[in-house]
Amino acid sequence: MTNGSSVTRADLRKKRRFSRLEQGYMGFFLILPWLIGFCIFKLYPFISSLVYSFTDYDLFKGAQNFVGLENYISAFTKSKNVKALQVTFAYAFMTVPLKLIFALFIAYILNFKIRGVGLFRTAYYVPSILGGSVAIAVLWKALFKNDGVINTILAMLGFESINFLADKNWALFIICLLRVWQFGSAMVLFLAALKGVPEDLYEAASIDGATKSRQFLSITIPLISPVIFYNLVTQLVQAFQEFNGPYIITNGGPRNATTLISLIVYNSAFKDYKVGMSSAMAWVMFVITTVFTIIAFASQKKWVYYSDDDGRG
Amino acid sequence: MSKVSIIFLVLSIVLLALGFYGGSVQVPETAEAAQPSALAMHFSQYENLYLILGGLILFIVLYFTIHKNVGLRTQHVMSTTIRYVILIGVGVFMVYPLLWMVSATFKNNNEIFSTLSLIPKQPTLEGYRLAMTNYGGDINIWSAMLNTYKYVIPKVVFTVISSTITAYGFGRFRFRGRNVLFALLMATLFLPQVVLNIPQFLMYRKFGWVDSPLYLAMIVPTLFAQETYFVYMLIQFMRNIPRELDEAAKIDGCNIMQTLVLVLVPMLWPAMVSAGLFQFMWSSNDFMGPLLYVNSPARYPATLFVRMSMDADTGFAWNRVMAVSLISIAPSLVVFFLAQSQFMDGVTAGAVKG
Repeated sequence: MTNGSSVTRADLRKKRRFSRLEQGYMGFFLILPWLIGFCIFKLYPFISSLVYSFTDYDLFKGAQNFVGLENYISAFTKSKNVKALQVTFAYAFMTVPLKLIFALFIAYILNFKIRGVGLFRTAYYVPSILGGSVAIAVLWKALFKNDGVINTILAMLGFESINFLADKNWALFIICLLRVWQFGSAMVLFLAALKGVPEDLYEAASIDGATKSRQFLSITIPLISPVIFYNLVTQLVQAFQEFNGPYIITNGGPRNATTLISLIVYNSAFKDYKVGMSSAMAWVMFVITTVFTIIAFASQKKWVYYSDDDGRG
Repeated sequence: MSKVSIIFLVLSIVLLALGFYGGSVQVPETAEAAQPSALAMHFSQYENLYLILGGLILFIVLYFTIHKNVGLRTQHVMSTTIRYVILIGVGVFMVYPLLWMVSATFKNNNEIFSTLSLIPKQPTLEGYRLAMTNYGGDINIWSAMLNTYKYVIPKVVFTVISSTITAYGFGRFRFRGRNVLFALLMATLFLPQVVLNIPQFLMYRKFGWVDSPLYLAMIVPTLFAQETYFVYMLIQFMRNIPRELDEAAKIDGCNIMQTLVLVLVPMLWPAMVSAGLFQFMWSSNDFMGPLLYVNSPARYPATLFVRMSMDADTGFAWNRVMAVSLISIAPSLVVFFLAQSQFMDGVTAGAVKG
């Protein structure tokens, strides 16, 4: 009985596979432009930057000699590069959690029945739509420069003015603040996810005597964990790549306090013309980003909860 | 009152007391007079910090104590009030810089940093007048804006078309190697652009695309659906369109492209609009692309022009810099306010499912 039915099922599966293959070539034809583009604009540059990273390729002379691991050794020994690694880690570990916590907190408040949700949501979202632009970086400079707006406020409150952008302890924090200020897109995602949590779960929990914070930890967090995960990964990848803010506002200074890896990659290729060194730094960054992405994906099983009926193919 | 709240109450009182003590310390003007002790100097310097911290903790303790001991109705009113206070407080933090920017464009340079007021005392259009004038090169704000949209618009159109076709291929067809290719597509979502920049630059230089008057280096890749995020977003959207529609179209005699254009595109349209809007924003704000691929000032887009005007004017004509900056983001702002809901839908479409 069981044997017979499994044979028929296998036959059916075979048949279905054939009918899929019929339209198969069409599908391949449709994605062919992407595949060609992928090979030219992604795969080839990806591999060649790995190759360059083992050479002393010069932007203008072009000559390349194999130099082995020299570029990588300098990436981890030259004080400027080591400093950039530290600064990049500090940047990522300061901005990502702050941004996510802030976004979740505000989304949580907005999810109560609040009048004017639309207005607040828009107000919070505008910075993240414009945040990456040069204009906003210029604005940030005007806010935090020595005689800028923030120092005017501090003076009114009776504090002494702080030269934010020239102080090596403050400068990185100000650059981080620009990114945290753009928490809007993460917040919109959290808000949509919170709206998707069924109310009756909260009702059942409060009948059982669960407090608000208990409900938040045991119902809300698990149910929106896929979105937390998505935000975590995308924010992490973006944070490691940040370029515009530090490049425009502080240009890596004071004393390399805001020189992220991306600035080193840019400067060594286009100021020092050392393509090899630049590629090595880019690859160091790529490996770091990948390791964190893999850690995030591997930890997914432990804390991300996917319901079965969300129609994922 | 619980033990915890008593501890915090005491803490807040101590902090407040230290703050008031700091306020009462007399710091002599001359160096010869007897200086207060280092500790007293410290409290005098950070007086405000202690007062703010102490006040905040006192407020929180009182809030929770009262909250616990009143009726449900009052509790509700209190919570709602607190929520609005937080929302408005954060809102000020979010919006004030932008409003300040707008008002700064109407101030004269002496006033910009001397007051916090958003209303200019002596409104002037000097900033805008200066923003319109040339810096002496062959570029001004209007030609820079024009240059921006010379590549933004083709990028938007090509991205939407090529991404939709690619999403259609991945979302609706099974073919040999589909799963491997799909995995590659998803992997590029996490591939940092920084790794690709330099080889891409060298390649485009060889092709003669760097500093091309047609901005080829920025436009051509979009013909090949290389902005993976949009492909992914459209695939997610397509999953929610029932396959029965495709099949019905097939039975009615539609070929594959007719099915796409006549059946799927009308259903996908909102997602395509979102993709287009995001591409519009991101390309108009893009700085790295023009920085690498545009060299001649005559071809500078707005982003590079703003940077240039900042370097030229920092220290004196801030109203001019602010006016230039505001003009450069004005189209993006207008588009955002006209199409807000599409933006919100677009953000959520890509992520919530899957």
